Amino acid sequence: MNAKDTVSNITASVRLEAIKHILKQQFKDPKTRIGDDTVRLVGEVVQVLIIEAAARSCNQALLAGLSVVEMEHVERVLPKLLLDF
Amino acid sequence: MAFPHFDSLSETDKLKLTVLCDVKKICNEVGSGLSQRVSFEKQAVELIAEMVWRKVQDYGTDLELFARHAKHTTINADDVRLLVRKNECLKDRIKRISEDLNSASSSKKRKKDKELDIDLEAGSSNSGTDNNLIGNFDMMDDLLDD
Repeated sequence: MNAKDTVSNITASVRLEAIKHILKQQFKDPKTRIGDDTVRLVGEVVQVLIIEAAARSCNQALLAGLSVVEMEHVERVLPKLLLDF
Repeated sequence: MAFPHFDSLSETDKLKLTVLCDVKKICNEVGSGLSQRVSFEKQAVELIAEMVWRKVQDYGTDLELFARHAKHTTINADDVRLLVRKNECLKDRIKRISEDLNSASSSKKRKKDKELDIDLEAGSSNSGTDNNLIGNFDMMDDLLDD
């Protein structure tokens, strides 16, 4: 898993505003706050999560000799992925 | 075929769409960066987006509990590091980024600090030495914590 280089090469990223809103929706205590730097860190985690999901499903598709990722390829990598994150 | 206008959607649906859109972009980029070009079926992208959506919700719940357990109301970098403790690679990455952010923000903070300086000590000069600025900022942190 050579995450460092590959991850930085991806230019598209998750919108931090959206992440912040989703996190805030989950807070039960209205006093809970989250700083912008912390949201950036969570954004980074989510970014790696998406890239891993995409890369592992691509791998599954290629193993099956296809060049299109279908739902079953994602389904096959989900259990391990969820254990890793 | 009446397509709902983006503004008429609920907040949650808008967020879900944003996530889906971002996931799609990242997936396409990952797929086109491989030696053999790979594309994604729509359903596959939707599945990944749904997984990400629930995962971020879980993160939200966990982070709040971590912060509460540490008797804080503001979630900080340590809580995020606790979140990724099981994944060594990710743990190192997050640690490095949070250190980068800390050192990078000192220059940003310095600018902000100057503004605060003007508010706090209207008479005195705000072009003090670095030591002074950092000292002032520590004080501001304490104030903000209260």
